[in-house]
Amino acid sequence: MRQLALDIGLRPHASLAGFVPGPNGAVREALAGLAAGTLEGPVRLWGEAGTGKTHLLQAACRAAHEAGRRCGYLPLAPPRDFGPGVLEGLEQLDLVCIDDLDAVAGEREWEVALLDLYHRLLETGGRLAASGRARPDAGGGLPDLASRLAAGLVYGLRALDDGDKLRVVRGRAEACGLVLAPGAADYLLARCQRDLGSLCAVVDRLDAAALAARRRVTVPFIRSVLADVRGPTDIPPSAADDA
Amino acid sequence: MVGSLWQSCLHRLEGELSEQQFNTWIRPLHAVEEGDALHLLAPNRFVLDWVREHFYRQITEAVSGQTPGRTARVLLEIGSTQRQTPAARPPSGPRFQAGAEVVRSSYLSPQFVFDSFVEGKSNQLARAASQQVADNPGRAYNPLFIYGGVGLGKTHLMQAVGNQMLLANPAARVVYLHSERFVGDMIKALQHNTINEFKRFYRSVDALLIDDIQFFAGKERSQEEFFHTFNALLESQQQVIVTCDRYPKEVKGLEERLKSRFGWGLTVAIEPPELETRVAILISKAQQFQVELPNEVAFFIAKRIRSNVRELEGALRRVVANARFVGCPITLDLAKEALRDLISLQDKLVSIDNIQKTVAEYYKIRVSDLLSKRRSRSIARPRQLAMALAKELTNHSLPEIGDRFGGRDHTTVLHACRKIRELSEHDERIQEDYQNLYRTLSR
Repeated sequence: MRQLALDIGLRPHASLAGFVPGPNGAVREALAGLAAGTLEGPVRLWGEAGTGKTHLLQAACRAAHEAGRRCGYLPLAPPRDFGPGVLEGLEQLDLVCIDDLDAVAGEREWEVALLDLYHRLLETGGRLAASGRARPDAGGGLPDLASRLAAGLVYGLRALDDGDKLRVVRGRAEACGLVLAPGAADYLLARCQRDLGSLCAVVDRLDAAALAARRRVTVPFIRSVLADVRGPTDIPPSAADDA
Repeated sequence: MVGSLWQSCLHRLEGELSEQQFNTWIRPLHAVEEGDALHLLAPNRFVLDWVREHFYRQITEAVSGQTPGRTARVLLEIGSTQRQTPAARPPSGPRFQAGAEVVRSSYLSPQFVFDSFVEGKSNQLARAASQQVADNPGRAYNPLFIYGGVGLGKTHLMQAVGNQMLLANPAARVVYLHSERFVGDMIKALQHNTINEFKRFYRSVDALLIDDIQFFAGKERSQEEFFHTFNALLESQQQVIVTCDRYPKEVKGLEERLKSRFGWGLTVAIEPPELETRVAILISKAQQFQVELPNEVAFFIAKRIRSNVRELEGALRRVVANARFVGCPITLDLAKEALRDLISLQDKLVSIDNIQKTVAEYYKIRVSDLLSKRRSRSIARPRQLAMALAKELTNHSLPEIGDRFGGRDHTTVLHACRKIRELSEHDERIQEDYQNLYRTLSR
């Protein structure tokens, strides 16, 4: 069965307030401190795709900017149109957020440049937040960099439960100005890939489709949109094979 | 004024660009208004070129939209303005400048002093040697070469020497830098045609502390320059301290003459700390953080994090942050919860295959039974349990989970989840099985 493709384009703005923390409340708190400059850091996030790492880093950037602090966000996942030279001068910023750190694991030039950036930020008092999928102690990257980041706050993001995921879906829809009919959010959770990135991508897709079709987002409408993506589908009556 | 103009532009651009584009390329720009010109300062050449190529039109339109009736020029430049943050540490030593650009500053962390260095069997020789060097710089051991794995305290000892030298003589020219920065500074000096000043600067300091010399490997020009600097300093009895992640002879890509010179003074190793030292380090750090750390918590962390001091520090920071977040004192339970992901053995992803295998083993059936059409209770119940666990512990969609269980429909998965939830409320056995399996899979 084909899964829905991720197609993340323009999205509602990430914010720390809009982050559904679930079991990750302390992470949000730490990033808020980093963005405000009250926490030294660094903060290192790790976790599977769709656990909210990108959202948190972008939200931290936003919070820093709103506090009048200079910041930047750099995603290292391919396709990457830039080399390590992009890190030059970033120590002038108050907060630097590096996403997808493990995308450059083993790339010596990048790793050394990141280590140098870490040292420069230490000197200028700039803060650093970084994320990656792998556990920081899983190896594969430059040990000098991993070790320095390990001295800060390291958080493994835990997956949200279904209740929190529903809150994310509804929050996302609300941010898009999309009204979900009763049962629509539950339907998405039952039928789609359930990581946050995929769920948000589906909401965005529904937003565009609802706008184009000028329809309310009901279960039948969702079904038709999903069918467009992955071919005809039907939901058979319960076929439980309980003993 | 500039704040409001650029802020208004930012507001518009934020609506036009993707969040990633905005955060990566637009947010780092710093705006300065001068007459009818808006100067946008980019942190480096790459950002400047990228913004110019991809966003210049949108930026100028946004600026024009905010300044009706007058023509505002948008000038993209590389640069920065002085940051107004109290967090920036003042340099503790002299600076080297290549042209107009400040290239080298000496930053010694005031935290890295001998008093805050916890001594144990693993590091006592290195500490004693460093103390001697601090007491008699240039005379006791020159150079002092400290080597050991990452995060074991090499930088701390090296900087402790520098800090003590400055305490004894505030006018001392103590320069600390990471070897990568030495390389970078040298390249900048070459670019700015100030290599002679670079040489003069580094050969005139009272103490040169170079961290992680292994990053010199393969950089012949830097090694040569460092070699001459090194010789000049040693000849005039100025102190050199070098750290490395391994014994000098074992560093590949380092010139033999440099390796040989490192052996002229004293070479000392730092080993990973033993349990008692790790506990002492944690208690010392807790005092620095001004928190009370119960012994049982210190032992709990120290027994689980063995590799290096930085990770110990990170774990303690995490516990302290969590205690502050929940507003509770530090207890063993709080530490266990705070460090759950850090110390758990679960470094593998929970997969449907793993769930099927674990459930089959638990109920002493075969994985093929779980995937089969058999509907006897002894097979169907474990199958339902496995499906419920797959929903709980993975992000797979319900149709996908159904597929992986012998091509079943997603409604079967839904039914299984409901059934297990209902049964768990009344049937202690099912509840216990579910919890045991959940624990096994998620630990």
